[in-house]
Amino acid sequence: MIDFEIIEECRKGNLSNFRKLVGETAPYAFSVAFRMLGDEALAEDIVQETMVTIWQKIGRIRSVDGFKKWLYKIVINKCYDELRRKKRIQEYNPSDPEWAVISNHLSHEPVAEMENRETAALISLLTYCLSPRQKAVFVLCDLEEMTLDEASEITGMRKANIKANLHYARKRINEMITKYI
Amino acid sequence: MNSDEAKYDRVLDLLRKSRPVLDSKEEIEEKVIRIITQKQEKKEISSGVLDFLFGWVYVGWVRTGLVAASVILIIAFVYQQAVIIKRINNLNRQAIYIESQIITGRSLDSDAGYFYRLAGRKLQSGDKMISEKQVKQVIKSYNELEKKYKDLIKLIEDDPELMKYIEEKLIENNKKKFKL
Repeated sequence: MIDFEIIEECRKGNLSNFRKLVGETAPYAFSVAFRMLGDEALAEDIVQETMVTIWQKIGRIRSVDGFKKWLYKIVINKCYDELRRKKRIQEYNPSDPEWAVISNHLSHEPVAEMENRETAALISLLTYCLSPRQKAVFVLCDLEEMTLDEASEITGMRKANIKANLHYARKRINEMITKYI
Repeated sequence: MNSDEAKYDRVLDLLRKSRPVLDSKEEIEEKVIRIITQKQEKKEISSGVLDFLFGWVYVGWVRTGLVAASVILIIAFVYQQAVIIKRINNLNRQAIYIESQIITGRSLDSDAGYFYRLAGRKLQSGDKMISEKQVKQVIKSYNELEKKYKDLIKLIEDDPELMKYIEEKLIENNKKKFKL
């Protein structure tokens, strides 16, 4: 994913190498932000802010693994801020054509990939009733397929807390699936 | 595995497969680089000013100390000036009693201003110091006052009825003063 030499060059203030770093890491940051927020434009803003923060504090990085976790940590924290700011509690109502496309995808065997707009609609529907922490745990563990340890390091929660939040998130999402799909 | 769990797995599978695609990668790269460059330029301007002022100091902590000391001195200076200005404004607003007259600091009259300044100093009755210039100013203002009311006095002296009326009024006033 990332070459440590690029990080070293960025630490020295090399902007062209930082551009490479942004190019390589932005899709990962975008994936997490998009799945957390269910909004493409907001996710792009979060990626942009994250990259600026990384440039400002890149001196703290000591390894590639550390960098990956740190990147996700920044993205998750920025998503928390955004979710707290927006406080979107109202129930999500999928429009008919959108929902027809999602149902169509699910009826196929094997399931076909969805476009960003449809993915955003499905995520928004399934996770609107989750707290930011539950969303983060669900996105990291179930969608990004990270281990509990990795999720614990990124979110700063204890493993037991991660398990509890994940259990609750899965339960609520299951309820939503039973209700709508 | 029941049907609910199967549904959950299918939805999860669909979401995992549908990894969000970042279409505007180049645009984000450009924006990020632009923001960073702008921030660096701002930083360079502020560090340029510091270099101009303290560039002759090569030891880092001494330079930081000097910057901190200069900031503290500037704050102290501004605070002191603000306190002085406030006190001057307070003095200007004060009213001063001189026998029967009230002269305020806001008076535009030059004589009143002179009395104000004269009485403004809290001198003991025994050691009042008045300069020659100040005595001249008192005499000048007395003469001006005399000139101003000369016509009025003449008018009163020419008209015995008016004079009588004024005398009566003065006596009345004196009586009132004694009663008080």
